[in-house]
Amino acid sequence: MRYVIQKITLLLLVLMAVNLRSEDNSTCYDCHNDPTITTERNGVTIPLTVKPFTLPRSVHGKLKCVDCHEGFDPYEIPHKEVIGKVNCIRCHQEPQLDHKFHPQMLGADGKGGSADVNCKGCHGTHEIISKKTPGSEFHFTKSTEFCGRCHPKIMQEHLVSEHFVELSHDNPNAPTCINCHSEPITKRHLLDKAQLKLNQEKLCLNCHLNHPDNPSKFAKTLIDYENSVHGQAILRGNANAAVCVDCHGAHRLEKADVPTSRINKQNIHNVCGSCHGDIGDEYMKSIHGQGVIKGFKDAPTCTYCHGEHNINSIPEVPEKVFSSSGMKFNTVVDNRMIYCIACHSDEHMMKKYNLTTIEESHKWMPSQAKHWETVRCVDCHASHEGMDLHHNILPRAETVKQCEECHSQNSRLMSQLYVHEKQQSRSKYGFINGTLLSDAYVIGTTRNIYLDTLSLIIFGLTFLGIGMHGFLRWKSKKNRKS
Amino acid sequence: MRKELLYPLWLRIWHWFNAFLFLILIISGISMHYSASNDLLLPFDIAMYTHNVAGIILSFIFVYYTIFNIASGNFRHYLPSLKNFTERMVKQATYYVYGVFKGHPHPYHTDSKNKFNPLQQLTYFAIMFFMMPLIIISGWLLMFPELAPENVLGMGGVWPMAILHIVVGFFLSLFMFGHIYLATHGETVSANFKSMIDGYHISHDSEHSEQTDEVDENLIDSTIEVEEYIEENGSIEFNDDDNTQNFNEQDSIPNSKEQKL
Repeated sequence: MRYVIQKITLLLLVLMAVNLRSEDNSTCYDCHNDPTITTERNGVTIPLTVKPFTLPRSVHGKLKCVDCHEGFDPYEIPHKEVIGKVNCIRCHQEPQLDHKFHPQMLGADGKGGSADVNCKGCHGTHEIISKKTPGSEFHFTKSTEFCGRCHPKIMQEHLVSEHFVELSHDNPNAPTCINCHSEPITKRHLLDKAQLKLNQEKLCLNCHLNHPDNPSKFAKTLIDYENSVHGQAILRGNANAAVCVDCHGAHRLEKADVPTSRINKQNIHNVCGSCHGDIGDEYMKSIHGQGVIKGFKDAPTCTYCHGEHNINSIPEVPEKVFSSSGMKFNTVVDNRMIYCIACHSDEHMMKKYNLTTIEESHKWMPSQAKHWETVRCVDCHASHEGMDLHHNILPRAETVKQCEECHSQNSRLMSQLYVHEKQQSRSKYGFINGTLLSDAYVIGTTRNIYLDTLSLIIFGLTFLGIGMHGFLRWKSKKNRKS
Repeated sequence: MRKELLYPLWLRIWHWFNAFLFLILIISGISMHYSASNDLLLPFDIAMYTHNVAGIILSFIFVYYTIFNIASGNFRHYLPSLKNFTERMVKQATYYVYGVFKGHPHPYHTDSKNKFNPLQQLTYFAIMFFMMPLIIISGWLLMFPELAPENVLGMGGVWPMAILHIVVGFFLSLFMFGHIYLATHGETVSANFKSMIDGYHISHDSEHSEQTDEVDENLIDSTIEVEEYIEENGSIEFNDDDNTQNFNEQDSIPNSKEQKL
C-alpha cells in the first residue's frame, strides 16, 4: 500500500513539474523570439522564430505552446524524440462540417494531408485570426482574394461579378465564395447530375426566389424560375434542363447591360443556342438576328418572346391596336403573337426602321378579324425551313404567303381563297388579262385519289378494249379474205 | 351507190375546230391536274393560260354550233326516237361486238334523214345537250367563282364546280378516243375521216340489212333528173360547197361497208 502511495505522489509531482514549466510560454519565447533561430530538415532551413505577440493576438491566444506542440520538453533539444505535425483535429473535430466548400476535408487527418486537405495551408500557424475580426483574411469581405490564392481563374471571374460589386460595397448580404460553396454544388460532392443541378438551383433561389410566402430579402432581381419550362423539367429530374448557372454562369455574374455579360442582348442567343443549337442558328439567320448583329437595340432576342425566367410576362399593347384591327387580346396572348404585335404596332419604332405598322401592312388581307384569329404571324413570316422551325423570321419582301396550306382544308375555305385570288387578279391586271392570266387554281380539289385511280382504270380499260376490238377486226377480215 | 352531202361546211368547220380545242384542253387540263408531280407536261402557268383561252374559244364555237344546229334543223338528228328503243340499241351493239367480226353489214343505213345510228344518237344527245353545256358552264364559273353559289349542300361552291368540270372533262376525253376509233368503221378505215373533211358520204343501199321506212321524194326526183342529165351530157360535175345533194353513179362495190361516224 505504501508502495502505491509513493508511486502516485511521485507521478503527481512529475505532472506538476511539467505543468509548471509549460504554463509559461515565456520559457519558449526565451529562445524562439530570436529572429535567427532555425533548424535544418532534409537539407532545408526552417525558421523557428515566433514573435511573442503573435500567438496572444490570434484565436489561439489563450493556448499554451505545448497544447499544440504536444510532449515538447523545452529543456531538451530536440524537444521531442520524433517531432510530428500539429494535430488540429484533436480540438477541431469533424472539420468537414465547417468546410463544406472543400468536401475533400472528409479525408483530413488534421496533421497535414494533401495540398487540398491541409489546415495550415489556408489557416496558417500561430497567427490565425478569427473570421469575425474585420481585418482578418478570413473575413467574408476577403474571401475572394483568399480563395483566389488557389483558384486564380475563378477569382478573376468573380471579381467582375455583380456579387463581388455588392461585396466591395460591404453589403453584409452579398454572397462570398464560402456562402455559396457551403452547399453541395460542385462535382467534388460526387452527387448525380440532376441532384447537383437541383442543389445549384436551390442555392440561387434561396436569395432570388419570388414567392409570396418567402419574399426575397436580398435579390434585386425577383424571378419565377420554378414555373418556367426549365424549372419544371429539373423538378421532373431532367438533368439536361438549364438551371441558373447554365445561363448566367457560375462566377462571372455580370449584369445584362454589360457588353461582355453572357445574358447581354448580343450574347443571349449563344446562351440559349448552347442547348437549342438549331433554333439558335435559325434565329441568327432571321431579320431579328441580323438586327441584333447590327446592334439595333429594339431587335428582339430569344428572351424577348420566350421570357427570361418565366414565360408568362406579357408586353403592353395599346387598346386601340385591338379595336382598330379586330384582333382579340386573348387569342394573340395564347398564340404569342402579342410579342410581335407589341413592337410592330408601335408607330414610332416602325418609323425608325422604315417599316409600316402591323395594321397598315395587313390592310390587303380579306376577312381580317378571322385571319387574326386563325393565322399566327410566324405562319407567313417565318421560313419554315429545317425542322419546321419558326425562328427564321424573313424580311418583308420574302414573306411566305402560305394561303393554300389552310385553304385546302375544306371546300369552303378553298372557295373563299379562290374567289379572292380571282378578284385580286382582275383588279391587278384588268378584266381580260386578270381572267386569262390568273394562276389561281383549286389546289387539291380535283386531286382526289379515288377519282384519279378510277379515271386511270377506266382509261386503261377503254384503250385495252379499243386495241382488242381493232385487232379482232383485222384478224377476222384477214380470215374472211383467205 | 349514192354520194350525198351529210356534213355541211358550217358543221365541218365546227367539228375540226372543236376537235383541235379538245386536244389542247385535254393536254393543258392534264398538265394542271398533275402539275405538282410531273415535269413532262406543260408548265402550270402556261397550261392555265392555254386552258383558259381554249376553253373560252370552245364556248364561243359551241354557241355558233348551237345557233346553226337549230337554224338548219340538224338538231333533230340528235333526238333519240323512243320507238323500239331497246331493240335498236341491242341490234347496233350486237353489230359492234359480233357482226363486225363476221363481215355483216351495218344494221342501220346512214343518209341525210338518219345521220346517226341509235347508239350514236344516244351518245351524241348526252354529249352535246348535257355534257358540253355542263363543262362550259362549270368552266366559266371557275373563271368567275364569285358567280358560283356560295354553298352547295354545305360545301363551298367552287369545289363541286371543280369536281363536275374534271369528271365531265374525263368522260368527254374518253368519248373522243371512242369516237375516233369508231370512225374507222367506215367503208375503209379512212373513209369516214375523208367524209368529215369533204362532207360527202358514199353509201350502197343494197348492202344494208334494213332500209329506212321513209323514202325521200326529193331524192328520187333529183335522181331521175340527174340520170336524164347524164344521158344527155355523159358526165356530171360536182361542187363541194354546194349544199344541194349530188350523186354519181358508179359500179357498185360488193360487201362494202356503211359509213358510220
